[in-house]
Order: sequence, then C-alpha cells, then structure tokens
Amino acid sequence: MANTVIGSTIVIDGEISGEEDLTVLGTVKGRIGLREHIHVEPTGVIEANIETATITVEGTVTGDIHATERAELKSNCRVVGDIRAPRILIADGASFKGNVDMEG
Amino acid sequence: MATVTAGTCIIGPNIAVRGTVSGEEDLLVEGRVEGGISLAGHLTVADQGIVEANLEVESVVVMGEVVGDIDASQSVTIEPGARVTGNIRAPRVIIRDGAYFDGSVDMELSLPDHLLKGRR
Amino acid sequence: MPPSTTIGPTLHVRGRILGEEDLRIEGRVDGAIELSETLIVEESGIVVAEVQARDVVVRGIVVGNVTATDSVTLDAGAKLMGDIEAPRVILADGAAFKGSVKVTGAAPRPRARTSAGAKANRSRASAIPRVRAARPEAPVPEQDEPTVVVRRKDVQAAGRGETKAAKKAPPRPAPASAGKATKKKAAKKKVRPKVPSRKKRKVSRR
Repeated sequence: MANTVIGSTIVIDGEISGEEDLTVLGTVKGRIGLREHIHVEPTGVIEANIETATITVEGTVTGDIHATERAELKSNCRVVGDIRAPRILIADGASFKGNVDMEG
Repeated sequence: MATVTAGTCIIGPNIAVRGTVSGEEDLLVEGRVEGGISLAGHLTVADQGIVEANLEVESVVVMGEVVGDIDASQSVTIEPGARVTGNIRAPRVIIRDGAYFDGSVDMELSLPDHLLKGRR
Repeated sequence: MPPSTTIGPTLHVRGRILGEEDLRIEGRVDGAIELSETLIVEESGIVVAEVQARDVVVRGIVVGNVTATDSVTLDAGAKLMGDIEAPRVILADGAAFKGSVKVTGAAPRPRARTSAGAKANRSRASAIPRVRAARPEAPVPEQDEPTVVVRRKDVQAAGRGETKAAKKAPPRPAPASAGKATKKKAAKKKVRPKVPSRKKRKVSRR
C-alpha cells in the first residue's frame, strides 16, 4: 500500500502531487494536489491550498480545501480558509473560519 | 594478503621503480612505483605498496596508496585502509568503507531522458 | 510511535524539504533536501536536488550534489550524477557514479606506514629514503641512476626470472658507517631535482 508520511520535524516548502494517501505530522507550505486521502495529525501544519479526494484535519490548515468526496474537521483542529466538498463534517470543538460550499 | 597467480610480476617491498612499467601480465606492487604503469592485465597495489603514477590497466585493486589518475578498462576496487588520490575512469568502480578516495569518478551513467533535460 | 517519514512512490514534491529525522524517498523530489539525519533514496526514488544530510544512502537515482556530514553510500543499482562531499564514501559494485569525491572533515586514519612528511611534502626523494630505511646498513649505490624501466619486451622475454634478478640487483657493499651520513645527503641532492622534470616529460607525452 502506498503511503506517504511527513514526519513532525519535516518542513516541505513547495508543491506535492501524487496518487496516494498522505499523513502530515510536520509542516507543508505551498500546494498539495492528491487524488486520495490526506490526514493532518494534531502536530501537522499545512499552509497551502489543498486538492484531494478526502481529508481529515486534526491539526492546523491555513488555505483553501477542495475535496472531491469528503472533508472532516476533528475537534481541536484549526482551519482558516474556504472548504468545498460534497460532504463536510465539523466536529464539536473544531475551530474553523471560512466559507463552506457543499456543491462539490 | 594479495593472491598471486602464476605469471604475476612482483615489485617487492624493497624495490622502488621510477619510470614507466608496462607489460601484459598481472603485476603486484609491494614496493614503490613512480612514473606510470601501463598494463594489459590486473594490477594489485599491496598493503605496503605506494604508486605515484598514472595507471592504465585492465583492472586494479588498491590496498596501499595510489597518487595519480587511474584508467581501467574493467574495474577499480579501493579496499579498506587504502588511499587513492586522483581521477578514476572505469566501467566499474568499487570503494569500500574505510577507504580514502579523493578525486573524480567517471563511469558510464545512463539516466532516464526526462532527467537529462537542462542538465550537463 | 509515529511512522518514519516516507515520500511514497507516486508522490512528487517540487520544492525544499527540511527535517530533523530520517527521510525515505520512494517517489520523486525536485528541489533541495536538508536533513540532520539519514536520507534514503530507494530503488524507485528519484531525487533531482541539492542534498545535505548526515548520512545518505542511494539505491535509486540522484542528480545533484550530495553533501553528508558522515557518509554517502551508493548501493548496487544506484545512479548518482553530481559531486560528493563527505568524510566517508562507499561505492558498491553495481553502482554508477559520475562526479567528484571530496573528503571532508578529519581524514580517516592516515596510514601509519605512509609517513606524514611524505604526504605533506610529496617529494619524490622520499622514495629512496624509505627503501633505504628498510636496510639501513646498505647504502644503495644505484641512487645516481634509480630509474628501472621494465619494458614489455623484457617482461615477456624474461618473465618472472627478470623480476627476481631485479630484486637481487642492487649490490650491497659492506656498511661504511663513517661516510654514511654524507653519502645520504649527497644522494638526496642529486636525486631531488632530477625527478620532477622526468615526471613532467611523462605527463606531456601521454
């Protein structure tokens, strides 16, 4: 199974593209374009516009999120940016600032 | 210790050669050679061997010290504890852990085309 | 226990990666990598970047200069085009490499036998003292003409016998302990200026 992990001390400044799941414990700045699942762990920080199939955020995301299937904001996450996805879940305790567009 | 096959010329530990050594058999250097070595065969620079020369050989195994450029038609092997200073050109180059090498290596290297764009 | 950082096989990163942990690359990275730990470029990995790390292990392709504070290892199948700077460089059989190697940091244990002096000052004359040192009681009279040229013809004709003869060739007169020191000095003086010119000729002829 293809699986990419960005560890907690890793900082990527640039563009990530691919066709596999991505788990972020570190920092990504720039742009992310994936066709699978992105999981932003509590330590994860993303300062980038994101395109993906599904995303689960437990950490921090600054940037617009476009998920073709589902976006889930867990409690204690911080998201600043617009979210566009057919299914959006925002848990109690999540911090979110931005617009929501559920037209997909 | 170096293996010596029949027909190996040996420059013993107390021999120093200055000039060009050329031949068509294997050569084992336990002493010292300064100048050049041109060999249609295998060269072994033994543990105590010191070669300050440009080498043109089929293959070479260095356990001692070489200062000079190495041009091998087959392979170059630098063993642990060996010291090589110079440029190497060979289809196969092996540098073992614990060897000292300072210089450049020129091996055949085929990269995918898309990587060569905008590169040397 | 967080899994170690991996850039998976379909992933393509364009930009800079910084980190303080091991990084395994199975996909592709274009840009730059700076790590304080170990970078592993797996068989499927392609790195087109300036690379800096403590240790670098390459099994895939790297195009760019690689600097390591500890070691650079090219395993079989590795392809590296670029210059290496590291205290330790290991090149396995089956690895392909084009570039230069610069050894940084403390030179790994200088060979005891190669005297430091001979290294620092690459005087050709150091050759003879070393040989002489092995037999201090026997000043070699051939010092005036120390060149032995083994021509292919000789080698073929005489084979092993010639070498043996050469080995025995320098006659060893009884030690003249009184005049030894002066003899040595004289020999050195004669030998020294001669050799560089000889070397030059050789190089230009090639």
